[in-house]
Amino acid sequence: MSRQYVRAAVALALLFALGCGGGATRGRRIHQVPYPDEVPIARQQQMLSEAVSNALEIVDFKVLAGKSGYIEVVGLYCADDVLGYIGRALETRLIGQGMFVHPVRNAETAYRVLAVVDVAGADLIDSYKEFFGFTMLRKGSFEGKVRLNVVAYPLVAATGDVVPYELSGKATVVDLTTVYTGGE
Amino acid sequence: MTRLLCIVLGVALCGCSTSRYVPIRDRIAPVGIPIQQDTLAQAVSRALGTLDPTLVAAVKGKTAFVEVIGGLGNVTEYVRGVVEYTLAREGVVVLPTERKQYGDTQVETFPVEASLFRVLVSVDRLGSNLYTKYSEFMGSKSNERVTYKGVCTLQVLVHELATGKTWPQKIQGESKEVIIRDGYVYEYEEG
Repeated sequence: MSRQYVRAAVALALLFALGCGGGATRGRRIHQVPYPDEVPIARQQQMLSEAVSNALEIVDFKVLAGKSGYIEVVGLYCADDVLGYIGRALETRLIGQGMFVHPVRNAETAYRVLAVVDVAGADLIDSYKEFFGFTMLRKGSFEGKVRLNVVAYPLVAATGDVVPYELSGKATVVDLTTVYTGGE
Repeated sequence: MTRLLCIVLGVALCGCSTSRYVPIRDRIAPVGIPIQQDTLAQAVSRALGTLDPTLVAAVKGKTAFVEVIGGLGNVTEYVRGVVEYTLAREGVVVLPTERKQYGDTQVETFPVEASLFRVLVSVDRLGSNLYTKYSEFMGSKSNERVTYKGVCTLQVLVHELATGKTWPQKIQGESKEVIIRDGYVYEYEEG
């Protein structure tokens, strides 16, 4: 066997080894069909939770530390789960800042914390460049967004501060490949 | 031969990539569409922005409850929230309504005894209109453009319960117009 054949065989073996794992990595795709509808998708939840977390970052209710209150959340075309999540996230924030949050209104609650959710969800974005009528660099992406107004006020007139907040937050943009999110 | 090896190695290394995909289905969970919600939210917010300051001043520092009627598509709860937020931010002591369950029926109870004012809001119109605009020349259409715009009309009546005095106002608001192309909202950026 000539030296040329040996070199070619070595090159092919090296290429095969690389393809088998030496430096190559494996893709992973999770098929949709076998999932029952009840199983939530972590990435979808993350788009919302990240946006909520960013929105609530600036909330400072320390002036209400030691006061008791309860939270009410209303929204526009938001699922109850989403409103419940936003309510609990806000509650966690308020408790962390020293407010006594009761699950419902009762005789002890001096404050009402009202959260009005204008926007909570994810926009599907199709972005591209247009050049003389031709579209290029087409890219699909999901962007989680939350916008809400919060006001905390005493239920008896002139017994405390009124604290209003206009809040908004966005999640990291998730690129899409057909119906799958892009690589992490 | 060495050159061939380098090319083979280069191609092999360039072709390697890590890919992880997660499926996204729009119906697995009821994920809201912010730009649609925003057209309605903007319309309501802009309508309430035109509320007469004397009307708000009449209730400032006093107790009141808000009652919302009308509106298709389950929007009354949201409208009440926005009205309550707007009034509370201005210093009105908005007393919350309560829901009580009687068998299969849910009944809303208003804090009439504890309130000095009743704020009645009637939702005459709240939604997004889909518009198709085009130019017509000799029977052929051109420059077709589809847009969405949120619109809101509310009738607000502030009613002093003890005296019967009322402050009525009709308010309207519109959202910014968003352009739709192939089911997507179109945002044009120069560059």
